[in-house]
Amino acid sequence: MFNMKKRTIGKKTIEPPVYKDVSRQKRFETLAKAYSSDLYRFAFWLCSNHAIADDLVQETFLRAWKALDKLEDEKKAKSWLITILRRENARRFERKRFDLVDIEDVVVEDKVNPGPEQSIEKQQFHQAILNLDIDYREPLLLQTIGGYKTSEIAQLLKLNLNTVNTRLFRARDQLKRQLNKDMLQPGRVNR
Amino acid sequence: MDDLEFRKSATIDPDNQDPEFLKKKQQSQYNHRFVNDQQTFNQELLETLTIPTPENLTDRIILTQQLLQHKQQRLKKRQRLWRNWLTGSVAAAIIITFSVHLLTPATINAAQLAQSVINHVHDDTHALNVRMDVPKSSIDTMLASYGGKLKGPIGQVSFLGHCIVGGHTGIHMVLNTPQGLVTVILLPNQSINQPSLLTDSQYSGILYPSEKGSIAIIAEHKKSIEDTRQNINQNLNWII
Repeated sequence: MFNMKKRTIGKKTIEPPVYKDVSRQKRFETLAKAYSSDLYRFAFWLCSNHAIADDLVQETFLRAWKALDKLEDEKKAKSWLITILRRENARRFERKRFDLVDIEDVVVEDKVNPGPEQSIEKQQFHQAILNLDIDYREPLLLQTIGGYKTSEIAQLLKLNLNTVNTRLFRARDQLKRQLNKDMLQPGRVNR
Repeated sequence: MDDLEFRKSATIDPDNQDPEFLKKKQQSQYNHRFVNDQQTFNQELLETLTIPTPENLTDRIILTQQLLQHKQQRLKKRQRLWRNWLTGSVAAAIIITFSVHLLTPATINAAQLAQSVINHVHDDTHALNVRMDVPKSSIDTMLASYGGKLKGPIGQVSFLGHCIVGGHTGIHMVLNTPQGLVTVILLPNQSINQPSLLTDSQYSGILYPSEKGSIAIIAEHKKSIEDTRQNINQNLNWII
């Protein structure tokens, strides 16, 4: 049988590699269970495509697994994962720049793909969010899905606090304007 | 906090807990309703953003990670095997190189060795002063230790002994020939590429490559050198 006792060299206690692997695995699984949904939603609203969002989340967690030892404070795990995801998304654009295809050769997916049960209001809301410029959309997602305070968003996006406040204000303002405009459109059924 | 600032704050974060903001909220019905409207809007926004996530998302993430881990472990194992193999090969190569080096007679500069032989003859004056009749059996025994054997008689041997020339051991013989004493030094562990003449004020001689190592023949009279050379070549055999 393997001797699973902790080995001691001098004053330093060393975890046996098996324990280290198990605790690392557990730690990773805990992170995946806790944050995968939020990360997926964040990814979807960033890229507005379910398949890409799925890929982004998978890639984010793979990178997180490789660099898991660098995460020292579990409280910062979510911000850490979001930072990885944002970088992954940025890489996607880097790759995309060199990967040009003729638009007529590809089938463009309907970015807004609401289920039949979704109300017209929700569909309009959905589209209004996607219509927001990414600079306004991103802080809004961090505030709502991420649950971050404005100061934390400023830190995450490396922006000035006033800039974040302005963007959050404009994001909501633009959403309301879009939704009001839709409400006034002829043929809309009031429920 | 003025009205404009209040409405901006309420729009940005209606759940703001700043005391000044909360005080302003309580100041009027309008302010209270405005904050409530923002909270309702935020709630709708959050509901819209909370899209359903794909089934088994977490399981797939863990599976992908496990597959990556497995792949990395396999790669590490392969790298470890390759490293071990490489280390073994390098060690084997070093051992073989050293063994070959130790087992193969050294090929050295003939002129240098010739000089060493002359020096040795001058140093070992005792060999030329001994008058013995060394039995053939003694010659055979000493030759055998180097893998040599006599096919026939080489004449009277007045001295026989081990010697060290140029850092390697050899056999030192003195033959009593009709032309005088001739020194024969067999150097089985020292190979040379070409013959070299040995000359100084007293002696003449030749150092030449043999089947195994090299042989030096030194005498005061040149004629005896060639005769002894033929004699040795005819009667000495290297078996190993």
